[in-house]
Amino acid sequence: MELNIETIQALAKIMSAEKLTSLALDQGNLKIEIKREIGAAQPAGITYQEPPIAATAPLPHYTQPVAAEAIEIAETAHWKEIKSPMVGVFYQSSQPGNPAYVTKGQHFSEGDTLCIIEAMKLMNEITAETPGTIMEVCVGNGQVVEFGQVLYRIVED
Amino acid sequence: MSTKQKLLQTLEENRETYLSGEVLASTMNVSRSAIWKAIKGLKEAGYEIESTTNKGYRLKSESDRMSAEGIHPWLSSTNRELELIVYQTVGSTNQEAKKLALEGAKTGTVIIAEEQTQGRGRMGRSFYSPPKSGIYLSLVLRPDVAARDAVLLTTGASVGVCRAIKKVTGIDTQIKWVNDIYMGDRKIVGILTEAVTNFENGQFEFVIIGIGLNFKQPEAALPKELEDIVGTLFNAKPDALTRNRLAAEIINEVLMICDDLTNRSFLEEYKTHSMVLGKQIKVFRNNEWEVATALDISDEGGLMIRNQFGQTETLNSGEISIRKLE
Repeated sequence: MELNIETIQALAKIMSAEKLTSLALDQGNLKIEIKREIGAAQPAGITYQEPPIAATAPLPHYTQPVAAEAIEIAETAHWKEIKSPMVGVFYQSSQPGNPAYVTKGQHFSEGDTLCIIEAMKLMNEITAETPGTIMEVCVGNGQVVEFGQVLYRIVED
Repeated sequence: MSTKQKLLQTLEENRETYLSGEVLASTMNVSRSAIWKAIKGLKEAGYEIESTTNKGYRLKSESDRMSAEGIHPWLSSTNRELELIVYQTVGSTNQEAKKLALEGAKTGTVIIAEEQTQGRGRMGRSFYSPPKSGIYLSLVLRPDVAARDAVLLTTGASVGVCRAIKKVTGIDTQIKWVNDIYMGDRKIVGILTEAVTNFENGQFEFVIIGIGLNFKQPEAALPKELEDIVGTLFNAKPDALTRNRLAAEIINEVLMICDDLTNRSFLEEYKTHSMVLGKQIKVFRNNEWEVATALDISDEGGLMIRNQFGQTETLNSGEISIRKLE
């Protein structure tokens, strides 16, 4: 995105339309951070056409019918989490440029390598105990993970 | 053990001494013609054996072939039962060790090769492993520690290798965090440690510690891109030392430390060998190099640094460079 007066104006419009309280942009590695704090103090000198959202006003997400949430929970109830056994760096493939060991939706067999966690130059392969399917990849390649952090959500066969 | 293997081990154990066919025959309890046949067989296999009338046989001092028979006499008494598997040529000793570990190889199994055709380092980088000049060795371990406590394996292995080099050559080497070993400004040893973990209980199934050591100048010139980075422990083979002898000592020292990891006393030794402490370094993370100062080594082997903002932090992964400063 090229930063000029037009894009800044466009961003300001989005901010006011979405009632955002902050927007950070980091062009170095294309990082965008958007915040909407409920009831946050508005910066002085800026007046809004609409009144600020009251702290008690629920966001649209929470007004969805309860039934929908219940269904979602039921669908993921049998998902299993694969957690990191150590602090380290998460790698999805054996070396840069190689395809990921597993991706979302992929089926894997018992003993298959799912990823590598590196700590102190120890390359630790995490292998599957049972056959299953990857439902969600929870961390990005090269990201530092904590002990016990969820790496994958899976469904066992 | 065959007569040929027994004979080779006896010759390796007594490299300085001539042994007559008669003495060999009686100690090995075979006929003199069996000894003569075994000598012939060893020569055909490429061993350089001196035979002098009235004195007997001995290995030439330049004879330096990797073999289980050559390593075995130098293993400490607790390691005499280890399985040593020596290949002439293998893709990578780590790959081979991993295969054997998956098939159930016991802790302490050693895989050695005279030459690796696909020697490798971390992240698929290659490790140049020409024949007759290096020690390429992988150890299979089944440590009884949780994965998160086992991060000390890599620092432990590097101290073990430094100790072994000092013990048999008298040479002092330095460690670049985490586990590269240098002599002067040249890297002479690379270590690649790979583990397979059962995520259910966080325990290691097994760990492979792969050690590649450049012992002497290879016959072929080094690849151009390695010329300014890689060195060798010696220019040529020293008279009284073999690669087998050093390999045995590496096995002894590395196993001794790795069997008792939680005794962190080796970390003090690690610090004295460290070539980065107190130095300006560069740290690679988030795809860029940052300037920092290396301060100390943590109890987990992590590198404590002062970063560019003056804050102290401990690194447990990632890449550092001393060279990139220039």
